[in-house]
Amino acid sequence: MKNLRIIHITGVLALIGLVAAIAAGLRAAPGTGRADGEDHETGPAEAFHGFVLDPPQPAPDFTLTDQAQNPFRLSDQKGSVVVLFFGYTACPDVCPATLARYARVKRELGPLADQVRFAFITVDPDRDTPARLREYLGRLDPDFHGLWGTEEEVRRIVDAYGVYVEVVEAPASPVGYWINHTALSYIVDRNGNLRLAHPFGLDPEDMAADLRRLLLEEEGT
Amino acid sequence: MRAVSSVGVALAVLVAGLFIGAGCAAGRGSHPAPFNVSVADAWARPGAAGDSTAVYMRLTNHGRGGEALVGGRTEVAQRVELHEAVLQTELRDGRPTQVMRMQQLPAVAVPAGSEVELRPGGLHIMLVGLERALAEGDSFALTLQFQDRDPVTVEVFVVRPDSATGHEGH
Repeated sequence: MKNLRIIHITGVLALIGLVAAIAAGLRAAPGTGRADGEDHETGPAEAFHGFVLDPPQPAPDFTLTDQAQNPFRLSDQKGSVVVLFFGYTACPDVCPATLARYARVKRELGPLADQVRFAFITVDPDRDTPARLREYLGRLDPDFHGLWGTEEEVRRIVDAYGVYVEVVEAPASPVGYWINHTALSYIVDRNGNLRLAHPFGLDPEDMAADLRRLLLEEEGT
Repeated sequence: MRAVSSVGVALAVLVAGLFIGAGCAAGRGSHPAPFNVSVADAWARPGAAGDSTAVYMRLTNHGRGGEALVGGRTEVAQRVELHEAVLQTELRDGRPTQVMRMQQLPAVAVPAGSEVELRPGGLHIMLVGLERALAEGDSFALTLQFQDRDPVTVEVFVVRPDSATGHEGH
């Protein structure tokens, strides 16, 4: 194998609920009972599809710069559901596949999608400038937020969310290096709590169902 | 909301259903069985010049002998590499996470009678260092090299794979 340079394999966020969810065969939180006359797709009886973080924890806050050079502060997004993905624009497979899924989730959600913020946080801030993020996301969906910070800022957020980032040197490639990284999408509810982690490959329909359920919850609880 | 390119994708799927028939490797002593691998649904994501992008396709070996894809070349990229994204749910510092790791492969085996799907989050052909931008609707020639076989050229369609045709699905 190539020379592996591990930046960080750390994380201070205790994803105990995630452990429990995996141990229980990804069984989701139980519903609160039969939906009485509510939309069956969104009723409270439906279980979540992603890994459930139980109990929910406040999502670690951050302020990064978006692709239009505007500040993006997570805690300013309260009232919306936020989907966070950590990746890099030179990532040829999993990152664009994830963003393509988000585009399908958006369509599944219809008008409700206006209340969801899809954010792509670069773990490669040296190469991924806001301008590059703008070009990259412009090819996929310009409404997605491409978030950039200094290496220190990004490292702090990566640590706070327990995201794995490993640079793999590829000297024979013009690219120079690849980055192995966490492929989960982190879902923050309208109250700013980290609620779910969606694995790569989750059906867009299931992801949309989870987001719809979070959007229909009461705010401020 | 942007209009869906499902028609374009469907067309690409139809047209890309290239069949590479027997006979292209006639006379090779080391491989007595005729080469009989079909390539279908060859597509790539858009990419900017200088970037990398992935190519996906379905390889079906209708022949009696095993085949192995060992590389390729194209005018649109500096290098063609075989890669696999391996997704693992694992414990890191006592916490579970799902990590994607990229592995470069020397070959992709296509055993006799098997179908091997190159798809997002799995096996893919990486075009490293695009010589020009690839935009939705473009197509380009990609020459595949199978072990001990004559090269095979297929047409790859550039699509934005967020349509509901299942390219990104299961």
